[in-house]
Amino acid sequence: MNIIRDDHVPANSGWGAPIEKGQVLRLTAMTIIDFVCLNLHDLDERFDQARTKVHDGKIWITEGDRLVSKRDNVMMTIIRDDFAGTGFHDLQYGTCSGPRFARAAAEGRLNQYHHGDDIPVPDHGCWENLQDALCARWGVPKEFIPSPINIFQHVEIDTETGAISHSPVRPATPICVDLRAEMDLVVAASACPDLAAPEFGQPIRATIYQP
Amino acid sequence: METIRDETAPRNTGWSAEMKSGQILRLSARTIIDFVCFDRADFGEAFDQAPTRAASGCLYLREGDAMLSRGGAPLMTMIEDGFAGLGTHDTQFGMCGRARHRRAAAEGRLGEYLNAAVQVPDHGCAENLTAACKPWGIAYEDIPSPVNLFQNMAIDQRTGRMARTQIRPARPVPVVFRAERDLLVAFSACPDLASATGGLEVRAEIVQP
Repeated sequence: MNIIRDDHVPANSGWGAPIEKGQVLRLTAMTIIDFVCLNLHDLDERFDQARTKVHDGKIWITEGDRLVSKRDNVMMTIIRDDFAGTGFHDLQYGTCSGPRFARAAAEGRLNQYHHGDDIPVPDHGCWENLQDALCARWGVPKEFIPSPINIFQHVEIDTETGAISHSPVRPATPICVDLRAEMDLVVAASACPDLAAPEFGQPIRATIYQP
Repeated sequence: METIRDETAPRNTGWSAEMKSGQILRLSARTIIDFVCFDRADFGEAFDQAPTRAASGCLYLREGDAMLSRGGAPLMTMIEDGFAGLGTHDTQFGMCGRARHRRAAAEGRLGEYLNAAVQVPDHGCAENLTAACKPWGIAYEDIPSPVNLFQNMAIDQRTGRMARTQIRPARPVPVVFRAERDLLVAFSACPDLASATGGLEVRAEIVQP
């Protein structure tokens, strides 16, 4: 396999790159990655959580499932999922952000991250990181960055009551998810500050290869 | 209490209106309504399913829950839910529409709609909401995936698989929202291929309390 690029993304920062149809993006981490994709040739066509769930017919997606755009086109296919059996990738939460953390602190809800009430609260999160990755270089207005798929974010869900809550379930060591581009795309990832992870957010590795 | 508007949207059509902060929107129906809202001063601050769930901690929109924008601002609050106890309002699915229905037909998945007599319409909520938002210059791509009122889903706890159900109100019941800022609100009276009756009309009232 031919490596196109292989980038180290520091904890709580953003990363973005173009990827051609047929190439594969490998994301490697042990904490949450907020991930989105947009059509390279028409940035108005964006990943959509709801369309993805409708197409795949379920609230959790894994190897063989598709990432689908608002226009019902298949954007990417998950071709390898090392998290399977440990947890599920999240399609319920949006991005964390500086204001979101400030609100959680003000509402006394920091303990929902499983570290108690006295944890360092970052001044920015995935919302700002994805803006760094997409707004200046690609001209995407920040409001039009879609709510992401949150890779390695295992969320406890009670489908009877609908209750959702954070869990600290994460990979024990860095593992990978491979996504094949089904169209030319801009892909963007945030190395989440991941307040619920046992050791908080970690760096991620983003590799694009031609299989 | 003053009624500002009292209108009926026929089945499989869209509707939209501006509302002032503090005004009440009452939607009454017995089939699915795909509902969205936007900050009137900044259409980029549109309803978003994900921050709404993150704030409420729930897959379903319930009485007392706020509808949040992409940027995390409360746009509306559900203050009365005539469907409570019978079913739940969906925040997983997007809109139906021509593209979705065609794909379902091509993939042999029309059976998911449960209704053997299903007739696939030439348009759905995507087209209805696009038409409803067009006077405000909002493009289809910038209309968020909605909250689907009266769309009761069955979600499997083990697999996460989602299935449509035919649980609907037996007669028109209201869902009532308070505007938390000046808004544009829009909905589609869904063709609701899964319901026993198919899609039906929706009554929309805006009231100044």
